[in-house]
Amino acid sequence: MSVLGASGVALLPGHALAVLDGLAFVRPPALFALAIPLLLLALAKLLARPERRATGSLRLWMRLAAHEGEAASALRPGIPLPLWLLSGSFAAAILALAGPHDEESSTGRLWRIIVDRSPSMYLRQEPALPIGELAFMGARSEELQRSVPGVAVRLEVALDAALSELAKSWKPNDRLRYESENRESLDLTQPVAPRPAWWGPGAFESAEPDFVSDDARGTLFVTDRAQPLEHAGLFASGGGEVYGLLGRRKSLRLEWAGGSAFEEQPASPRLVSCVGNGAVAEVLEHWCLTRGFSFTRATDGGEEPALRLDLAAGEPPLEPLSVERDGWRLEVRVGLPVEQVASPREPREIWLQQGTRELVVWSPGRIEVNWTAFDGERSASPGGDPAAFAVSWSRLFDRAVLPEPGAVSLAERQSAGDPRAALGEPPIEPAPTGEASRYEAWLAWLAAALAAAAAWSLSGSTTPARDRRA
Amino acid sequence: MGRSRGAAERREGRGHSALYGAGEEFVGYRPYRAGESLSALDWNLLARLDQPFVRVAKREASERWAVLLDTSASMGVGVPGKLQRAAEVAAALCAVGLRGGSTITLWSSSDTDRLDIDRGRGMAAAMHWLESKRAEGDAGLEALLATVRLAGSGRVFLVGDFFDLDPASIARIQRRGRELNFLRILAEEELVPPRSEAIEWVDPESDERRRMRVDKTAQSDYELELSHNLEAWRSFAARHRIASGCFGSTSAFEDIVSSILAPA
Repeated sequence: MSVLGASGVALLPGHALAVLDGLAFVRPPALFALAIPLLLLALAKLLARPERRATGSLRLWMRLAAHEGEAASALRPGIPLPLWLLSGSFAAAILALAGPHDEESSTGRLWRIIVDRSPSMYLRQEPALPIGELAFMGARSEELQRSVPGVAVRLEVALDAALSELAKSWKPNDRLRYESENRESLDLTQPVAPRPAWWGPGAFESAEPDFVSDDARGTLFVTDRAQPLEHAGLFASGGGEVYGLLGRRKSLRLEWAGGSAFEEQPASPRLVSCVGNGAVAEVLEHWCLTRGFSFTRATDGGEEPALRLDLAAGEPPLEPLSVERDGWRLEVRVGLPVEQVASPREPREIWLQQGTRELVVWSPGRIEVNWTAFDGERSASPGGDPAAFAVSWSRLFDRAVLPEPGAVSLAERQSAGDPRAALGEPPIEPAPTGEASRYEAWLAWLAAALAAAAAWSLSGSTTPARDRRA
Repeated sequence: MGRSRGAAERREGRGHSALYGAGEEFVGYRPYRAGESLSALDWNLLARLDQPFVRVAKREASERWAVLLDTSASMGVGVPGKLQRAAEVAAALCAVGLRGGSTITLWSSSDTDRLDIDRGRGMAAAMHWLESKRAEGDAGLEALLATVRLAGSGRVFLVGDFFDLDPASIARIQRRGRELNFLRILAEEELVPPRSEAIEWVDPESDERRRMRVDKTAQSDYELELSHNLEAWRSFAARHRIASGCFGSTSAFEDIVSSILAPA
């Protein structure tokens, strides 16, 4: 049994011990209420006074007592049967309230670890790195492993602390669920870390968790900055300012040197490639000029492009289709769906859809347009507002282009403060279902039966008033 | 508890307690019963009729009776109280005595109060006097025997629980020609104490207390003690030809009175 102590067990017979050994309680604190019936019995015994009876034959009793030599003052009457029954009823009711069930049938508690996978979580834990040292762990998990092996980032530090603390409170049937933005939840049966592929940075940048709405018992936040939480646990790595690359402005790289110091360094333009023709390709070319990217129609090369646009109609037969969004309209030809451009491991977002057809799909660094332009004048320019067409697509390019490798925003590079570790409130023991809760029903019936027996014996023990005629 | 129960509600002793048979005034004859004293047999009648008859005589009309009633606090014990039953017995004795023409003096122990009644001042006064009695104080029959004046009383009835009475005190009232009768009345719990893990016995006269565990063994021991006590009184009464009986307070007073007054 997980709750009763050894001293209580020693008093129990073998078979009862076997039953209790496999018991667990949904609400163990309720067992403290068992002190009530025990206290009641103790008080009854302590305050009990012997029945007083007048007699003319006291001398005979005195002679008997003199022979026995009994400690008369210590004699107290026994606890009345109704009180025994009532106390038993109380005890049974309290045990029922505690929710006893077989330990094996327990579904266990569910711990949630919400992992903050915002960019700052991939900064190295050391405070205030010098400019130029790699502090960002790369845009992909593979890069993370390759670039700085053995270097702990904030996420690892906070996660290790959380798992170390969780292991102390872990029960055999407990379960663990990892949650993070842009990641499918991961269920585990042991308090261990997920694979780096799960907790590493994804293609899409993740925001910080919603600390307020997820502030519940049994939830642990793995983050870098301390947060005011009421119920949930918090494991914040802390960490100082991390200087380094903030981003790029055309041909200049902007780096933070601490405080208000920034440095700009010249850099060669990054590559944007396009496969296919049409109005969209034209907008991309203009966008590259504006943003300082080098536009190319080459599909293969040594350098990984910051953005790649694929325009393909798919497999014949092609059908004419009029597509529209954000106030523009375009006449295109659409074929059967082609193989997905984005990797299945990476999430994709549908930007334009008509019926069940996914016409424009994007993922970081890649845009797939599943149509082709008409030959001739019909496809020369989009209908509707031409400016709206350019603005609409430029927004998509801005979102889809890969960030400068190693670039982290200034806000993320700020100090995360001191580390913090608090497990918070444990999750509630799940109520057993079906067969597991049969003890509750039995105990409830027992409590009712004992209470009825107590009432019956109480009514039977009342004696009529005695007539003592003098 | 059978022994105590058996000892109670039984007439003991061999006193001359019958109203008829020991007096001077001839009343008539009745058939002889087996076991009766042959001295009462009318031998002349036996010779003439060849059948045994006993002469029946009536006591003197001027005989004086005394009824000594224990009204100490211990007589309040029991349901009904011992004094309740004792008072009823006393009233019955008065009725019988007055009917036989006796003069009766009632004595109560707690206040040493007395009441003389005869045919002129009869039952009504006795009932009123008895009703006024309460079980109080610590003066029982022992105290009463020390002060009572029983000059001229041919029959004396002592009614009480006898727990405070020393048999030696009886000598004070024993006279030639005086017939003594002991009517001992005990409460139910004095005969059969209830079992209890802890019971505090209280003597209402001295307020002495004793806490006891009354289990089967204690019950048995008490029974033995009580039997010794009863036996001591029984043998004393037998030795002094005193009619005696021990009764529970739940016994009907008619049974008690008829038991003590029935011919031996």
